[in-house]
Amino acid sequence: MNISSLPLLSCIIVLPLIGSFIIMLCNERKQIQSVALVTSLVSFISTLVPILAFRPELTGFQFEEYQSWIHNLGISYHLGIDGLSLFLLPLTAFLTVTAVLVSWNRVAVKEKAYFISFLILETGMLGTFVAIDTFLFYVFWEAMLIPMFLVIGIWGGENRRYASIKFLIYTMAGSVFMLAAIIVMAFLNQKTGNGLSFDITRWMELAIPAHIQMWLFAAFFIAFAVKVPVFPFHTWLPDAHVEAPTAGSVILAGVLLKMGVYGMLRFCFPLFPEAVRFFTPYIMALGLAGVIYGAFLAFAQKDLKKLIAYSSISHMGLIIVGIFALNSSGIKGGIIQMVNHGLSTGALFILVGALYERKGTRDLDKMGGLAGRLPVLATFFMMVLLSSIGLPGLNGFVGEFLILLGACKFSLWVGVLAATTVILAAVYMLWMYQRVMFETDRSPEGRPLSDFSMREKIIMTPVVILILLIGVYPSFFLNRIDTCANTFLAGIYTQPAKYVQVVADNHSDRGDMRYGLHSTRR
Amino acid sequence: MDFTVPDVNIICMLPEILLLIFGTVLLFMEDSSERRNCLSLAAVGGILTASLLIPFYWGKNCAGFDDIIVRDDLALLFQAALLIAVFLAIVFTHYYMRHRNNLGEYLALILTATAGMNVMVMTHNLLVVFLGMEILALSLYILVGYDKTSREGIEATVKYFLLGAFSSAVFLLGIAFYYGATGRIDIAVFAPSFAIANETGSLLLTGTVLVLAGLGFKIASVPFHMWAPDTYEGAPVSVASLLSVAPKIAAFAVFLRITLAVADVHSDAVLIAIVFMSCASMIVGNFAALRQTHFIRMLAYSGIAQVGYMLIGLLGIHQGGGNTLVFYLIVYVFMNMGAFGVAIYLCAQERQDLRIDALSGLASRHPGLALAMVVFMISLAGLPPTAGFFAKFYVFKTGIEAGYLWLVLVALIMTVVSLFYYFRVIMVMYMREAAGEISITSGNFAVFSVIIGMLAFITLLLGIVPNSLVMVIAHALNVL
Repeated sequence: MNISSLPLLSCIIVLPLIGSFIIMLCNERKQIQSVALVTSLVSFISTLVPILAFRPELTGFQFEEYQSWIHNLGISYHLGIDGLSLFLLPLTAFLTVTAVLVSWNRVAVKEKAYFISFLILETGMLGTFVAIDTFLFYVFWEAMLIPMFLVIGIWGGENRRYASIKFLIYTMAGSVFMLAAIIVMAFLNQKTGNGLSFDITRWMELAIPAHIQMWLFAAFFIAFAVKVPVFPFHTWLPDAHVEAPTAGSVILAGVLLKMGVYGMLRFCFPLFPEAVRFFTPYIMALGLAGVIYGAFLAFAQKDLKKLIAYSSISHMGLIIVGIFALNSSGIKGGIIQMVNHGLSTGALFILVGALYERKGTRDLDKMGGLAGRLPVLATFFMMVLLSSIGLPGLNGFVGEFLILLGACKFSLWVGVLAATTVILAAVYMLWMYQRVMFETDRSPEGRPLSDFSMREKIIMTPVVILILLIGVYPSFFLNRIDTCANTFLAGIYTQPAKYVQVVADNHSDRGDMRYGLHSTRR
Repeated sequence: MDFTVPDVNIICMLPEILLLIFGTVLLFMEDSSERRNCLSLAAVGGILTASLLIPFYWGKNCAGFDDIIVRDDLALLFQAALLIAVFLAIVFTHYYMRHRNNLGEYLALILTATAGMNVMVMTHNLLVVFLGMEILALSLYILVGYDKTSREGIEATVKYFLLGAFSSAVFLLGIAFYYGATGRIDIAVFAPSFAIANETGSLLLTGTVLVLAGLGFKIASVPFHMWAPDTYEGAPVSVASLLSVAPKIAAFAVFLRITLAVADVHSDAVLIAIVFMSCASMIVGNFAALRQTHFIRMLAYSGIAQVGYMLIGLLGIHQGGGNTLVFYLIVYVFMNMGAFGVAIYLCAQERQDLRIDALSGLASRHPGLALAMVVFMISLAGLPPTAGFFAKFYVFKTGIEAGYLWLVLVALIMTVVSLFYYFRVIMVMYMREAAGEISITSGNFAVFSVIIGMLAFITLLLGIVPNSLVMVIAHALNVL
């Protein structure tokens, strides 16, 4: 049997699902954990295969799989990846492995359901990144919510129920408009003689008139903006992060937030170029507001997890600024920064979780002087923190530099405002580090603390290696992103030959709007 | 004097005749606690025989009684859904009524009701529809009040009976007006009469509105929904489960036939009525469900909301809305009966009352049952990868294609509202522990568990591979 004939992407998606079925049959904690670990490791390795076989020079999707799914509605099972999703797959699988390791022997109740939730979550996330058919994308996008809801709600902190339902409702409320927009897009596609299809590659051939683009763009954008989260839609994030268990925070910050940006690049850019150009200044403003507002809020937090949650808002705002700068360096920086932020914020949450396990608190006022007592933890913490701030030589620098370059090209003032993130992040992060690791211990009683265990070292070492690797050899990653970034750009600036004509002939007496579509493009 | 023997063709009524024979036999069977299994098996046997006949009728368009009865594929599809629902209701009854007598009468009434519903879905004649509806209603009145000793049960019966009788009268009056305007009582002549309605216009309009009101009562759509929550809560839970699904299917079948008949003509009255009923049902149902603390009441309001979504399918009748409605109804059978099934399981095994809070800690006591409930709740809420999601998506798609974007947006927003109460069930099951000791009664629930598991599996399966069902439905509606 030829190895290249295997449906690689399907295998990647299905693997965690198989693992979760096996877990259902297990009963002992050891078995459950081992199965979860092995499954997540195997699926991580399988996500590395596309990187090796990826051909950076090709535009369009690679490793495509196509299978008709619901024939009567033109829905297909269509998978594929390009430079955008190439590195998000291993990031997802990698963080799932860490999530499993972080939870090793730590889950007190319903551990079977816990690991099953994480593996199903992994399937959902991987599926979202490889789906090309929008219906399929939406299925994965929503299917992801339920395991995450359970993870926050069952294994979370004190206020977990509130946080989990808030997370669910916010995300759902954003997504339903996207569902309506998806249906309208499919309808337009059909009416213009392009066939009954939910396939994004088919939709790209459509040139939708500007005034309709605006509405559709808005519907898609809100769904993604809630997920990112872009500034006014961010209020669910601190709650969810604070209440989620460590592994949940890792996945939430590391992968789920990236989905918003991924969706914008995958759907909004190619489908609604004019709307993107029209809305860019406003979105830029929201992005900048997020950068600065998030940073200031992070500055004011006493809870470590909350601080990192707000720093996430700030950093994600910067990514939004990068991709909406609409130039090559900005988009490339945004894409690479998605991976970087996933790594460093994920790692920060692991470290905060480790601190919490030791100190029993996340309150900055009750920490201090830990560097001497936990030297290994403090070292890892410093490296990750510097990566998050964007120290040259580490991964964060590459992304931030490119984004700021793009922002400056867009407009000098935007660049200047975005650049404040460098200062602000340094201020709140280093200040936090000082208060946690240096100074004198402010906790009431001096509990004996143990430094990093072997398990924790095993978790953190690969993260740090990756942080260094992307920092010193970014061209490996950037080369593979280059083509797709340019494709997105080209799409934004190309004028369509001729618009689809959509004329609303109102049957006013019936009170409904019918879209009569008269001529097709070209 | 001319005398022609009408074309009777008794074969076309064979399943109904068999159902009634089984029902009659049940009445005469010895009714004791030792014979309970025999009674239930006999009733299931009746349902099975009727459903086994469906494949033989498929594609044949078997007609009889001067074409008053036409067993077309659409009717067969509806009957299949009905029989599944009734089968499940019988299983639920078997476990729910473990300590009560008169099971035979009860089961006989269920079979009679089934025969009535079967008749409703396979006729074009409004009077025969009425006949079926009354057979159904009379059986249900008794079933709802089956628990003669409970105050709530009696209240439920009185409410259901008074409103039900009233709505039947309204429906009959509607037929009379319609007959007055057109001289016919056939659904098929709706369309031509609408086309030529001039001087008889107001008469016809009144008739149509009254007929729709009568049907609206049966499907429990706002503003004809008032009976539903009280009746569901007061009736035996197994009856409530039947009530929440089966009459809706039968009434929607009639609704669909009327809408199909008027599809080609400009029939504002019908469309406006449907838009209003749909919009109001979604809003009232969802918001009222938010405030419920009793599980069955919550399901009652959720059912009202679901009807609102289904009605959108009728608006897009030109865009294949009929398909979406049938798909939704079939999915609804599985997910709604599943949710009731879990409730009945708890009633039977733990003697729980059915407040939502009583579900606390279910995930620890019965992990499998809780998981099944999660599937049903997610499906009712309309999240992928369950059948409920695809059903909603399908309905919304036709709604948008028919130009009712605003209504679909309302529906989508209401879906978000519905998350609060559907997910509250999940939260209670998984995120809270039971308050006190729970006594578990003995008994063998293996079959019951398997059936609930099957329902959950089908709910998932139809969400992941809906293709074949979509094709079958499309075929059934195309051959009409």
